[in-house]
Amino acid sequence: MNDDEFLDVLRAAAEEFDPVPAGVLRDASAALALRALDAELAALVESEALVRGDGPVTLAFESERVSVSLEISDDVLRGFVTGAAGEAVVETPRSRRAVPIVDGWFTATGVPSGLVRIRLTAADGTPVVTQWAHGTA
Amino acid sequence: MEIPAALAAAARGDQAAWDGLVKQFSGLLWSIARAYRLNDADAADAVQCTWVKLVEHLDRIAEPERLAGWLATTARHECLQLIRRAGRLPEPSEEIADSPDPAPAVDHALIVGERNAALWRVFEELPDRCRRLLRVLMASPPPAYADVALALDMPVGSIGPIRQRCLNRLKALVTGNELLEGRS
Repeated sequence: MNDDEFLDVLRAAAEEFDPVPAGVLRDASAALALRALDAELAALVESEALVRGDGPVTLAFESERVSVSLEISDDVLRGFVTGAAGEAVVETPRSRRAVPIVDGWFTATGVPSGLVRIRLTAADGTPVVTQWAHGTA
Repeated sequence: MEIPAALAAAARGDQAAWDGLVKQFSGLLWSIARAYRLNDADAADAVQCTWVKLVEHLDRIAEPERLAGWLATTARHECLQLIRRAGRLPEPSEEIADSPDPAPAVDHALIVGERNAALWRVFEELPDRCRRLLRVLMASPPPAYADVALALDMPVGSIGPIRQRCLNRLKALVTGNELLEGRS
Protein backbone atom coordinates (compact mmCIF):
# COMPACT_ATOMS: atom_id res chain seq x y z
CA MET A 1 0.00 0.00 0.00
CA ASN A 2 1.57 3.33 -1.00
CA ASP A 3 1.28 6.52 1.05
CA ASP A 4 -1.67 7.91 -0.90
CA GLU A 5 -3.61 4.69 -0.49
CA PHE A 6 -2.75 4.56 3.22
CA LEU A 7 -3.96 8.13 3.63
CA ASP A 8 -7.21 7.19 1.87
CA VAL A 9 -7.70 4.41 4.44
CA LEU A 10 -7.07 6.94 7.22
CA ARG A 11 -9.53 9.36 5.62
CA ALA A 12 -12.19 6.65 5.64
CA ALA A 13 -11.43 5.99 9.32
CA ALA A 14 -11.74 9.71 10.11
CA GLU A 15 -15.10 9.85 8.36
CA GLU A 16 -16.24 6.89 10.41
CA PHE A 17 -14.89 7.91 13.83
CA ASP A 18 -14.74 11.69 13.72
CA PRO A 19 -17.23 12.94 11.13
CA VAL A 20 -18.40 16.55 10.95
CA PRO A 21 -21.38 16.63 13.35
CA ALA A 22 -24.75 17.31 11.71
CA GLY A 23 -25.30 20.27 14.05
CA VAL A 24 -22.08 21.90 12.85
CA LEU A 25 -23.31 21.65 9.25
CA ARG A 26 -26.73 23.05 10.23
CA ASP A 27 -25.17 26.02 12.04
CA ALA A 28 -22.89 26.69 9.08
CA SER A 29 -25.83 26.67 6.70
CA ALA A 30 -27.80 29.01 8.96
CA ALA A 31 -24.88 31.45 9.22
CA LEU A 32 -25.77 33.03 5.86
CA ALA A 33 -28.81 34.60 7.54
CA LEU A 34 -26.42 36.66 9.69
CA ARG A 35 -25.55 38.93 6.75
CA ALA A 36 -26.03 42.56 7.72
CA LEU A 37 -26.65 44.11 4.32
CA ASP A 38 -28.70 47.02 5.52
CA ALA A 39 -26.30 48.32 8.11
CA GLU A 40 -23.24 50.54 8.25
CA LEU A 41 -20.33 48.51 9.62
CA ALA A 42 -18.56 49.68 12.76
CA ALA A 43 -15.05 48.26 12.52
CA LEU A 44 -13.07 46.93 15.45
CA VAL A 45 -10.38 49.53 16.17
CA GLU A 46 -9.10 48.29 19.48
CA SER A 47 -9.12 44.99 21.28
CA GLU A 48 -7.60 44.15 24.58
CA ALA A 49 -7.81 40.92 26.46
CA LEU A 50 -5.69 39.21 29.00
CA VAL A 51 -3.69 36.56 27.26
CA ARG A 52 -4.98 33.79 29.42
CA GLY A 53 -7.68 33.15 31.91
CA ASP A 54 -9.87 35.64 33.70
CA GLY A 55 -10.46 39.33 33.33
CA PRO A 56 -12.61 41.50 31.12
CA VAL A 57 -12.23 41.88 27.38
CA THR A 58 -12.44 45.45 26.12
CA LEU A 59 -13.30 46.27 22.54
CA ALA A 60 -13.77 49.52 20.62
CA PHE A 61 -15.64 49.91 17.32
CA GLU A 62 -16.07 52.90 15.05
CA SER A 63 -18.15 53.72 12.02
CA GLU A 64 -18.77 57.03 10.31
CA ARG A 65 -21.71 57.80 12.59
CA VAL A 66 -21.19 55.79 15.75
CA SER A 67 -18.51 54.69 18.17
CA VAL A 68 -19.01 51.85 20.63
CA SER A 69 -16.85 50.55 23.42
CA LEU A 70 -17.57 47.23 25.10
CA GLU A 71 -16.37 45.54 28.23
CA ILE A 72 -17.22 41.87 28.49
CA SER A 73 -16.63 39.99 31.71
CA ASP A 74 -17.97 36.47 32.03
CA ASP A 75 -21.53 36.74 30.73
CA VAL A 76 -21.97 40.48 31.41
CA LEU A 77 -21.56 42.97 28.60
CA ARG A 78 -21.39 46.70 29.32
CA GLY A 79 -21.25 49.17 26.47
CA PHE A 80 -20.88 52.88 25.93
CA VAL A 81 -22.03 54.40 22.67
CA THR A 82 -21.84 57.83 21.08
CA GLY A 83 -23.90 58.81 18.04
CA ALA A 84 -26.75 56.39 18.74
CA ALA A 85 -29.62 56.19 21.20
CA GLY A 86 -32.70 54.09 21.90
CA GLU A 87 -31.83 50.40 21.99
CA ALA A 88 -28.71 48.33 21.54
CA VAL A 89 -29.29 44.84 20.15
CA VAL A 90 -26.75 42.35 21.48
CA GLU A 91 -26.39 39.56 18.90
CA THR A 92 -24.66 36.21 19.01
CA PRO A 93 -24.85 33.67 16.17
CA ARG A 94 -27.75 32.05 17.99
CA SER A 95 -29.46 34.86 19.86
CA ARG A 96 -30.36 38.52 19.84
CA ARG A 97 -31.59 40.74 22.66
CA ALA A 98 -32.43 44.42 22.79
CA VAL A 99 -31.41 46.47 25.84
CA PRO A 100 -32.08 50.17 26.47
CA ILE A 101 -29.36 52.78 26.09
CA VAL A 102 -29.39 55.15 29.06
CA ASP A 103 -27.16 58.22 28.85
CA GLY A 104 -24.98 56.32 26.38
CA TRP A 105 -24.64 53.22 28.53
CA PHE A 106 -26.17 49.79 28.07
CA THR A 107 -25.79 46.48 29.91
CA ALA A 108 -26.72 42.95 28.93
CA THR A 109 -26.42 39.93 31.20
CA GLY A 110 -26.46 36.23 30.37
CA VAL A 111 -24.52 36.79 27.15
CA PRO A 112 -23.40 33.42 25.76
CA SER A 113 -19.69 32.86 25.19
CA GLY A 114 -18.24 33.15 21.71
CA LEU A 115 -18.90 35.76 19.05
CA VAL A 116 -20.94 38.86 19.75
CA ARG A 117 -21.88 42.01 17.84
CA ILE A 118 -24.04 45.05 18.56
CA ARG A 119 -26.74 46.58 16.34
CA LEU A 120 -27.53 50.23 16.87
CA THR A 121 -29.52 52.99 15.23
CA ALA A 122 -27.54 56.15 14.54
CA ALA A 123 -29.03 59.53 15.41
CA ASP A 124 -30.05 60.04 11.75
CA GLY A 125 -31.80 56.66 11.63
CA THR A 126 -29.04 54.72 9.84
CA PRO A 127 -28.71 51.14 11.09
CA VAL A 128 -25.21 50.34 12.31
CA VAL A 129 -23.74 46.97 13.23
CA THR A 130 -20.35 46.25 14.76
CA GLN A 131 -18.01 43.60 13.44
CA TRP A 132 -18.20 40.24 15.16
CA ALA A 133 -15.81 40.00 18.06
CA HIS A 134 -14.96 37.42 20.66
CA GLY A 135 -16.32 38.15 24.06
CA THR A 136 -15.42 35.40 26.45
CA ALA A 137 -14.63 32.07 24.94
CA MET B 1 -20.43 25.99 -9.24
CA GLU B 2 -16.91 27.49 -9.26
CA ILE B 3 -15.89 29.00 -5.93
CA PRO B 4 -15.79 32.69 -7.03
CA ALA B 5 -19.25 32.33 -8.58
CA ALA B 6 -20.54 30.54 -5.49
CA LEU B 7 -19.16 33.27 -3.23
CA ALA B 8 -20.75 35.99 -5.36
CA ALA B 9 -24.08 34.16 -5.34
CA ALA B 10 -23.91 33.63 -1.57
CA ALA B 11 -23.18 37.34 -1.12
CA ARG B 12 -26.48 37.97 -2.93
CA GLY B 13 -28.22 35.66 -0.47
CA ASP B 14 -28.26 32.46 -2.55
CA GLN B 15 -28.67 29.79 0.15
CA ALA B 16 -27.99 26.88 -2.24
CA ALA B 17 -24.68 28.42 -3.31
CA TRP B 18 -23.76 28.95 0.35
CA ASP B 19 -24.70 25.40 1.26
CA GLY B 20 -22.44 24.20 -1.55
CA LEU B 21 -19.50 26.02 0.06
CA VAL B 22 -20.44 24.62 3.47
CA LYS B 23 -20.53 21.12 2.03
CA GLN B 24 -17.20 21.53 0.27
CA PHE B 25 -15.19 23.01 3.14
CA SER B 26 -16.75 21.83 6.42
CA GLY B 27 -14.61 18.69 6.36
CA LEU B 28 -11.45 20.78 6.15
CA LEU B 29 -12.53 23.14 8.95
CA TRP B 30 -13.56 20.29 11.24
CA SER B 31 -10.27 18.50 10.59
CA ILE B 32 -8.31 21.65 11.44
CA ALA B 33 -10.17 22.05 14.74
CA ARG B 34 -9.51 18.40 15.59
CA ALA B 35 -5.88 18.74 14.54
CA TYR B 36 -5.58 21.34 17.32
CA ARG B 37 -7.19 18.81 19.68
CA LEU B 38 -10.27 20.90 20.38
CA ASN B 39 -13.10 19.00 22.10
CA ASP B 40 -16.54 18.68 20.48
CA ALA B 41 -17.90 21.98 21.79
CA ASP B 42 -14.78 24.02 21.07
CA ALA B 43 -14.34 22.50 17.63
CA ALA B 44 -17.95 23.32 16.78
CA ASP B 45 -17.38 26.87 18.04
CA ALA B 46 -14.21 27.33 15.98
CA VAL B 47 -15.91 26.09 12.82
CA GLN B 48 -19.01 28.24 13.41
CA CYS B 49 -16.89 31.34 14.08
CA THR B 50 -15.04 30.73 10.81
CA TRP B 51 -18.29 30.57 8.82
CA VAL B 52 -19.72 33.63 10.58
CA LYS B 53 -16.59 35.59 9.68
CA LEU B 54 -16.88 34.45 6.08
CA VAL B 55 -20.47 35.73 6.02
CA GLU B 56 -19.20 39.05 7.36
CA HIS B 57 -16.54 39.18 4.61
CA LEU B 58 -18.59 37.69 1.75
CA ASP B 59 -18.21 40.71 -0.50
CA ARG B 60 -14.66 41.47 0.65
CA ILE B 61 -12.73 38.28 -0.09
CA ALA B 62 -9.80 39.61 -2.10
CA GLU B 63 -8.98 36.34 -3.87
CA PRO B 64 -12.15 34.25 -4.13
CA GLU B 65 -10.32 31.45 -5.91
CA ARG B 66 -8.21 31.04 -2.77
CA LEU B 67 -11.18 30.71 -0.43
CA ALA B 68 -9.88 27.43 1.01
CA GLY B 69 -6.71 29.20 2.15
CA TRP B 70 -8.71 32.06 3.68
CA LEU B 71 -10.89 29.57 5.56
CA ALA B 72 -7.87 27.54 6.72
CA THR B 73 -6.12 30.65 8.01
CA THR B 74 -9.25 31.92 9.76
CA ALA B 75 -9.90 28.52 11.33
CA ARG B 76 -6.32 28.39 12.65
CA HIS B 77 -6.78 31.80 14.29
CA GLU B 78 -10.10 30.73 15.82
CA CYS B 79 -8.57 27.52 17.19
CA LEU B 80 -5.55 29.27 18.68
CA GLN B 81 -7.77 31.94 20.22
CA LEU B 82 -9.92 29.28 21.89
CA ILE B 83 -6.81 27.52 23.17
CA ARG B 84 -5.38 30.79 24.55
CA ARG B 85 -8.63 31.81 26.21
CA ALA B 86 -8.94 28.42 27.83
CA GLY B 87 -5.48 28.92 29.29
CA ARG B 88 -4.06 25.82 27.71
CA LEU B 89 -0.47 26.05 26.68
CA PRO B 90 0.27 24.93 23.15
CA GLU B 91 1.74 21.48 22.95
CA PRO B 92 5.52 21.56 22.68
CA SER B 93 6.62 20.62 19.20
CA GLU B 94 8.55 17.39 19.07
CA GLU B 95 11.23 16.26 16.74
CA ILE B 96 10.05 13.51 14.49
CA ALA B 97 12.58 10.73 14.46
CA ASP B 98 12.82 8.46 11.48
CA SER B 99 13.14 5.45 13.73
CA PRO B 100 9.87 4.76 15.46
CA ASP B 101 9.23 4.06 19.09
CA PRO B 102 8.53 0.43 19.96
CA ALA B 103 5.04 -0.53 18.95
CA PRO B 104 2.58 -0.29 21.83
CA ALA B 105 0.71 -3.24 23.23
CA VAL B 106 -2.05 -4.26 20.92
CA ASP B 107 -5.42 -5.66 21.78
CA HIS B 108 -5.36 -9.01 20.01
CA ALA B 109 -8.96 -9.72 20.88
CA LEU B 110 -10.22 -7.26 18.30
CA ILE B 111 -12.26 -8.79 15.58
CA VAL B 112 -11.49 -8.09 11.94
CA GLY B 113 -14.51 -5.84 11.58
CA GLU B 114 -12.94 -3.43 14.06
CA ARG B 115 -9.81 -2.83 12.01
CA ASN B 116 -10.66 0.80 11.37
CA ALA B 117 -11.30 1.34 15.06
CA ALA B 118 -7.90 -0.16 15.85
CA LEU B 119 -6.27 1.98 13.19
CA TRP B 120 -7.94 5.06 14.65
CA ARG B 121 -6.64 4.23 18.14
CA VAL B 122 -3.12 3.73 16.81
CA PHE B 123 -3.39 7.05 14.96
CA GLU B 124 -4.36 8.84 18.18
CA GLU B 125 -1.13 7.56 19.78
CA LEU B 126 1.05 9.39 17.28
CA PRO B 127 3.24 12.24 18.54
CA ASP B 128 1.34 15.50 18.38
CA ARG B 129 3.09 17.02 15.40
CA CYS B 130 2.42 13.94 13.28
CA ARG B 131 -1.13 13.56 14.49
CA ARG B 132 -1.82 17.23 13.76
CA LEU B 133 -0.55 17.14 10.17
CA LEU B 134 -2.17 13.82 9.31
CA ARG B 135 -5.50 14.90 10.81
CA VAL B 136 -5.68 17.84 8.41
CA LEU B 137 -4.50 15.73 5.47
CA MET B 138 -7.33 13.30 6.29
CA ALA B 139 -9.94 15.98 5.61
CA SER B 140 -12.56 15.06 3.09
CA PRO B 141 -12.29 16.09 0.29
CA PRO B 142 -8.46 15.98 0.43
CA PRO B 143 -7.05 19.49 0.94
CA ALA B 144 -4.31 21.10 -1.15
CA TYR B 145 -0.89 21.30 0.53
CA ALA B 146 -1.02 25.11 0.29
CA ASP B 147 -4.18 25.14 2.41
CA VAL B 148 -2.77 22.61 4.88
CA ALA B 149 0.27 24.89 5.24
CA LEU B 150 -1.98 27.83 6.12
CA ALA B 151 -4.03 25.74 8.54
CA LEU B 152 -0.96 24.71 10.50
CA ASP B 153 1.37 27.64 9.82
CA MET B 154 3.96 25.36 8.24
CA PRO B 155 6.12 25.90 5.16
CA VAL B 156 4.34 24.26 2.26
CA GLY B 157 7.58 22.54 1.21
CA SER B 158 7.85 20.74 4.54
CA ILE B 159 4.49 19.00 4.27
CA GLY B 160 5.48 16.26 1.83
CA PRO B 161 8.59 15.12 3.76
CA ILE B 162 6.87 15.31 7.17
CA ARG B 163 3.84 13.50 5.78
CA GLN B 164 6.11 10.69 4.61
CA ARG B 165 7.91 10.39 7.97
CA CYS B 166 4.63 10.47 9.88
CA LEU B 167 2.98 7.84 7.69
CA ASN B 168 6.06 5.66 8.12
CA ARG B 169 5.81 6.13 11.84
CA LEU B 170 2.16 5.16 11.79
CA LYS B 171 2.93 2.13 9.63
CA ALA B 172 5.54 1.08 12.18
CA LEU B 173 2.90 1.27 14.92
CA VAL B 174 0.60 -0.79 12.76
CA THR B 175 3.32 -3.39 12.16
CA GLY B 176 3.13 -5.90 14.93
CA ASN B 177 -0.56 -5.30 15.26
CA GLU B 178 -1.80 -8.53 13.74
CA LEU B 179 -5.19 -6.97 13.13
CA LEU B 180 -3.74 -4.21 11.01
CA GLU B 181 -0.57 -5.67 9.64
CA GLY B 182 -2.17 -7.00 6.49
CA ARG B 183 -3.08 -3.55 5.28
CA SER B 184 0.12 -1.61 5.87
